[in-house]
Order: sequence, then structure tokens, then C-alpha cells
Amino acid sequence: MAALEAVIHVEGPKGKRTIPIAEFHKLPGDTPNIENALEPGELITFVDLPKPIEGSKSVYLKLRDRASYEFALSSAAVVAKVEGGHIRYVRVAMGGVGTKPWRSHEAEAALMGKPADAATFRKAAEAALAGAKPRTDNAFKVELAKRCLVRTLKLATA
Amino acid sequence: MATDTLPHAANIIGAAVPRIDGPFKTTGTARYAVDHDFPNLVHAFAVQSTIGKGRIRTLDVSAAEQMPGVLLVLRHGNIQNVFRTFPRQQDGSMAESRPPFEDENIYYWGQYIAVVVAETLEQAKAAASAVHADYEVEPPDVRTDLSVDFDGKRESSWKRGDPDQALASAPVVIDQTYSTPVETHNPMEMHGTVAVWDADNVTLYDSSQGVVSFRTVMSEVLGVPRENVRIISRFVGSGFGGKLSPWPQATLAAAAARQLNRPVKLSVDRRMMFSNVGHRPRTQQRIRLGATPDGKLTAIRHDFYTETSQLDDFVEHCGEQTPFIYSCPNLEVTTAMVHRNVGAPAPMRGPGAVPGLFALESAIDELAIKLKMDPLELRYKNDAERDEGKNLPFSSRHLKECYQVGAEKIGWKQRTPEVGSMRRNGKVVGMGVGAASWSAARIPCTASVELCPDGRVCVRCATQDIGTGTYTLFAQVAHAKTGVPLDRIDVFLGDSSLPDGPTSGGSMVTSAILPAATAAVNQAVTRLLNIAAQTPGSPFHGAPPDSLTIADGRVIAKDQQPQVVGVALHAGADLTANGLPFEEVLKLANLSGISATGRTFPSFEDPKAQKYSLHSFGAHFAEVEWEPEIAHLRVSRIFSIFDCGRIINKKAGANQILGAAVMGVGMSLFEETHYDKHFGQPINGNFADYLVATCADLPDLDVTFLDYPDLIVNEYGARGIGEIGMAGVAPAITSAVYHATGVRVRELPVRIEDLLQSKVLEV
Repeated sequence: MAALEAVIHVEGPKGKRTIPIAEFHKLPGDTPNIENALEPGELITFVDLPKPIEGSKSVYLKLRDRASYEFALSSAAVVAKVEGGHIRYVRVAMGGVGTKPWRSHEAEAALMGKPADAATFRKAAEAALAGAKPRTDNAFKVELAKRCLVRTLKLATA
Repeated sequence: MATDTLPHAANIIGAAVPRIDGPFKTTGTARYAVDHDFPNLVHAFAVQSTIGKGRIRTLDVSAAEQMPGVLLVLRHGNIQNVFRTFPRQQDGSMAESRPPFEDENIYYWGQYIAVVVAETLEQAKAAASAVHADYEVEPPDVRTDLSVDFDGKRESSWKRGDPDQALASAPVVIDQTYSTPVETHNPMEMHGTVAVWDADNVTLYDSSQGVVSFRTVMSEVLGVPRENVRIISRFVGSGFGGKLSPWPQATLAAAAARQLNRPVKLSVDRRMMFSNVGHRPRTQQRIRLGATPDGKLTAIRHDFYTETSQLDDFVEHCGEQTPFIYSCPNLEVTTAMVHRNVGAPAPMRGPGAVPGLFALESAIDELAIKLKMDPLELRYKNDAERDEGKNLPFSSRHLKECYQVGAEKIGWKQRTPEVGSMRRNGKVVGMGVGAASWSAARIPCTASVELCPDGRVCVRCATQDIGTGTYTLFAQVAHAKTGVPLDRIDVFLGDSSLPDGPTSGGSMVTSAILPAATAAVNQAVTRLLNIAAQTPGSPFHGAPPDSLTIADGRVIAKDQQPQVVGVALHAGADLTANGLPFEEVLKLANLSGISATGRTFPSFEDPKAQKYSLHSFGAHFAEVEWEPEIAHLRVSRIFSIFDCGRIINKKAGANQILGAAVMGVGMSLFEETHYDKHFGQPINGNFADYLVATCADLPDLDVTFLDYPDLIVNEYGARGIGEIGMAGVAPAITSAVYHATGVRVRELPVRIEDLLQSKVLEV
């Protein structure tokens, strides 16, 4: 939904409002107890997905230790449109890399207008993970997330 | 009904027979331990330690005692008359040697510190959360490296020749250390006890792999005579070794029930399964192999550490198979036990053999690669003709044939040895093999058979069916020897008041029960024929008893015995127009039944069996698919070829190997219990975080039995089969992983972080 730029509709004691997906999940900061933007008493009533971009393709890939009933070690969601071998539209989001669905504007910038090839995908993956701060036990995720994103980009632009 | 198509009479031995207890399980009428309820029954819930080591300074139960419905808060100081069992005795002991609440010391996280008993489970749980402990806290030792600061004793378990000298002079040497993590038993049915006292007698409904040994142990623990204790475990939702000995919840339920004089139910929940009722302990095994350049083994050293709890001397015997799998003149196996702040370990499917053969078989694969030899060639070259550990011939060993059949099935001939050299459907393919072995024996057993006036046959034995097909096995024997249809045979197991039967452990039930059950049926039939010949009014009156026989449940003259044609096994089938149904003989003789008891004479007292090394063998061939671009590994195929004597029930037998192969996949790729470094808590103690294989993870599984009877073990040639199937899976998979990726995983499970080291990056 982060890659599709969904809009969350909520209703509560103070009435109705909309929250863009990018603002829905919160980073822990000093208030790790607050995970999302819902106010007390608010309920999600529905979710709007914008009309797909004509000619675009979307792919979601989830990598995990076992084949089912398991959270992602790394996942990637990509919406892309390719024209004349070049990327004309792209949205990139990743999972399993942070405390919220991680929209990567860095990867998008590295992809826009570039040829849809392996070298571009790898550069985008490097850009997406450039700011990653791994710990001892999850250091492998940096490389795994890159491979996950490269594969997803390959599938979405094929 | 499926039994319509089963082979008839004696041919049912060796057929694929559906379980006679299946309908009870599929319709929900099978009652497991904590399914039992009684008038006046009350519920208990355990309070667990929240530290991994230390001492309880104060235990405040005042709030809990005041809560609604609370009847008793059992703890150190008010628990009455629970005793230690003599450790390591032949007929069983407590899995955890320290009786609960014996002192105020804490030895591991989750240790029971109190039990709250209340009118309802909800009241007991609520009050349990109101018990407050104040501790003197010490840092627990849950370090995973078992070799650090080791100051215990290393014991030599096996030795022959001079392995150190042979290693020093060996032209080719492998020296590697292999580790297996703590793995937790997770049978579908968790542990739990319902205790019911009647004056000085106690009945315990428990989930037990050995009702007879549980009776002995619980009589000692509770300080009551053995004949006053009854253990009932009619259905067991699997045990995998975790239910071989009673755990503290049985003691606590029985003690609480005695002190309150009311039936008490105490369940172990899934989270407690990871701390209080056993696990396969961590092992760390150094393997050194010496070989000639043409691949003849000259030396094997297998030196291992095995983790245990603070108070229990449990050893995972990793070296048990090492002395006899391969022919090698110089060998030593040594064992070192390392204490950690964890609960007591317990045997888990294929104890010793499973981690031990992971290490040994991995090292053999590494040696083959170093020698540039095919791993099967190396195994053929070093196959043992006799057991060089015990210096005895094998009763029946066909390991080479297991390799040959498996190689044929998986297409080993097409295997190219170079790492990452095989491709299929855009994936890299790897193949590996691992050997399996497990000991066989015939242990004592008593069983009784009764021919009943309603035309039914009752078989009784105080063994239990832990999901393996033991009920069906008894019915097969009774049918084979009487021709009475399976649906007129009633088998009673899982009750210590029945004739003493074996513990379901070590793959020894099948070989133990067959002789006893057969002797009992044969004797009952002999009695029946004598009565038919002696009873006035019987059509056989005056005939010599040895001219008579039984077929389809009817007494007939041997010369009128019908040809066995058929198929129909259930009631109403009448293949013999002649003869007299046995129940009619009972009626004529005015008998309420004819019963007989049979016994199994143990192999360890049998001079003939003592001249042989009794073992089963097998091999798993595993294939993995590797997608380097996304570091994705999948086990795609496993072929399991087993030499386990004659298989009595092909369906139940195959089921054992299939289930074990699935557990082997879990062990190879997923399973590991993690302990928190600071508090010693098993932090992944639930099914979301402790990963077992799901159906989606399973490869194509294919089981083959060589089916050579081992007549030294018993007259049927049958050996047990529960343990062996899990051995050899992990080394087959990790060898296949190496073949595909070039990554040698020596510490299970295989992790994605290991696979990311692969240099095979493209398909």
C-alpha cells in the first residue's frame, strides 16, 4: 500500500478524516507505544487505492525463513512503468527493514528515467539501503533486502 | 470400508493396514490426558520463576490466597510427602531429579515456584498472576559455546587402536567441529495430568510413553505402594521422547489432589513446553578423520560436548553409531557433559544418533570432497562388514543396498560434483546423502488375549500407542492367528493395570510386542481347540485337538480348511460354510471366555541374539534448489531408503519415516530454541517464533523399505522404526546445500546469513 500510495479513511468521535499511508505508521522515537496515527476511538473505515497508472505493473515479493505462516525477513513492493526500455514511473516500498513499511524515495530517484537493467536495479538497491543501520544479529538483512529489491524490480519491469 | 481390500489372515502381516484407532481420533471421541473430567474436579495453574538462577527470598501468596475460588497455593514449605526417585534405575526415574519445591533455589528460567489450585481454571490463572516472588538474582549461564571454561571430565566412550597416532600419520585429514542447537519437542498434545485419589489409591491420567515405568516412578515420588498407583494414557498426541519419564506437573497434580482430597487437573501450556518438559540438548562435536589418498579410513576421533541442566546428568550420546557405521581400525569417542541454567533435557527422536550422524556424515562428505571422490564411493569403500565396536557380526545389515536404491531413485549418476554445477528450471540444484542407524532389541513384554462370548477378541497390554500404530499391530497379530475380522478385535492399551508392556521409546515396542501377542493368541487358540474337542455336543467332540484349527474365527477340521481366497474381513463375512464360530464353542462349554497370556523373552538374555550386533540402517538422499538472486533455498526431494527388518504395517511404517523426514527438514532449516542471555528465558517459546516445517516447506517425500526380515530379533523379523528416520536427514540436506552453494553449514540450522556467503550468484 505504501508503493501504491494508499489513503486511509478513518472515522472517530471527532468525525471523518483521511491519512496518507506514509503518515499512518509512526517511527518509535520517544513514544514507541504509539505505533500509528489513529486517535483513541478512531476506526479505519476503508482504504483508497489511487487508480493504477496506465501501463504500470506492480509486484510484491516476500522472503522468509519458511514458506508460510512467517513474517518477512525482507520484502519489496514495486510499481513501475517502462517505456522504450527506460523507467518512466516507479514507486518502491520495503518491508522487514524497519518499524514501518519503508517507502524508498532514494531508490525511486535512482531508477527514474534510467534504463530498466540489472545495473540500474543494483544501484537503486544500494541507494535504498545506504542509510540502513543494522545490528549484529540482523546485519545480513542489508544484503538480503538489496537482493529482494533487485528481483522485484526485475519482475515489475519485465 | 477400507478393510474390505486388505489381505486376509496371515497375509495381513506386512500389509498397509489403516489404523484401527483412526476413527476415534478423526471423530474426536479419543480422550487424551486432560480431556478427562470428574465430579468435584478443580484446576491448577503453575507459577514460574522469572529469573534463570538464584534463590527465592520471599514468596508472597497472601493476595492469591484471598482471591475467589482459590483452594490452595502449593509451594516450598507446604507441599507434603513428595520424594526423590533413585536416579538412573532400570525401570524409570523422574525426568527432573529434583522434586518440585524441594528448596528455594532457582536453577532455570520458568522453574515452577508455586501452583495455585482453584475451582475454575480462570480463577487459578488469575490468582497465579497475583503470586509475587522476591529473588536473590544471579546471572544464569546459558552460553551456547559449550567448550568455554569447561572444567568437567571428558570420558572415553569407545576406543580401538591408536587414533592419535593414526591421525598424525594420515595423508589426508579432516578436522571440523559441528554443532546442533537446543531443539524443543512440540507434540500436538502438550503435557498434562489429571490426578484422582480414592483413599490410598491414585489414578493419574497423563500423556505418557510408558505407563508401567510411570507407575513405578510415581509410586516412589508419592510414597505409596506400586499397586496403589494407576497410570492411564489411552491416547497420546505424540511424544517424540519427551514423555518417556514423568515431569513435575504429574507430581504437583497428585500432591495437590491428595492434600485437597479432590481431583486436580494441571496442564502444561505451549510456552511452558519450552522450559519445563525437556528438549534435545545442544551438542558441539569435533570430528577428526584420517584417510589414505585412495579413500580408506585410517582414524576416526569423535569428541563431543553435550549440554544438560544444573542437576541432571543427561547425555546426548552423539557417538553411539560412530564405532560401527564405517570400517576403521583406529577410533575413539569421548563425551563431555556441560551444565547450563536450562531445564532438564530429554531424549528426542533418535537421541544421540541424530546430532551424532549430522556431525559424522558431514565430515565424511567433506572428506569425499577433499579426496575428489564421490561421497557414495567413499561410503562403499569403508562400509563395515561387521560391528567393529562390539566385534560382532550384524544380524542383518544392508546399508550398501540402501545407497544403491537411493542413488537410482534420485538420479545420482547425473550428479556432477562441482559446486553449483547442476541447474534445473532456473535454479541451482544440489544433492547430498546421509546414513542412518539405530539399535534394535527385543525387550520384555506381557500381553493377554481373550476370546469373548460375543465373538470378539480382546487383546490387552500395558504399552501405549503414541501415534505409531501399536493398536493396529496387536489387531494384525490377533487377526493373522484367528482370522477374526479386524472390527471384531478390541485392543486395550495405555493403562498400567493391564499386563506389563514396554515403554514406547528406542524403537523397541514392535519387536517386543509381536512375540508376546503371538504366544498369547496361539495359546488361547490351543485352549479353544482342546475345548472344542472335549465338549459334549460339539461337532468336534472326540476329534484329536491337533486335527482342528481356526479360520475366520471358526473352529474347523484341518482337512476341511478352506482355501484363503479373500478379502472380506469385517463382521458378517462368511468364507467358511463349515466349522463352528468360536463363540458357539464357548456357549456349548458354558465358558465366559478363553484367555491366555504370552511373554516376550528379551534379546539381552538370549544367547543367540547376544552373538550379533542388532541394528537398523538407512539412507536419506536429499535434493535442494537454490535461487542465489534472492538467497532462497528449498528442499525439493528426499528419498528415504530403509533397512528396518520386516515391516509389519507398511502404512504405519512409512508414516514413521515420512514424519521423521519432516522433522529432519525442520531440524536442518528452522528449529532452534534461543535463550535470553541475561535472564535465561527461552525467548522464542511459541509457534510463531520457534519455526517447525509447514506443509508448504515439504519436499516430495518418497520412502522405500528393503524389507529384509531380521530373524535374530523375533520370529517375524521385525525391528522398530520410530527413531531412525530422523537420523541422516540433516547431513543429506547440508551436503546438498554445499553442493548447490559451496557453503558448508556446520552449525544447524542452515541460516539465510550462511547462504548469503555463497559465491554461486547466478543461475
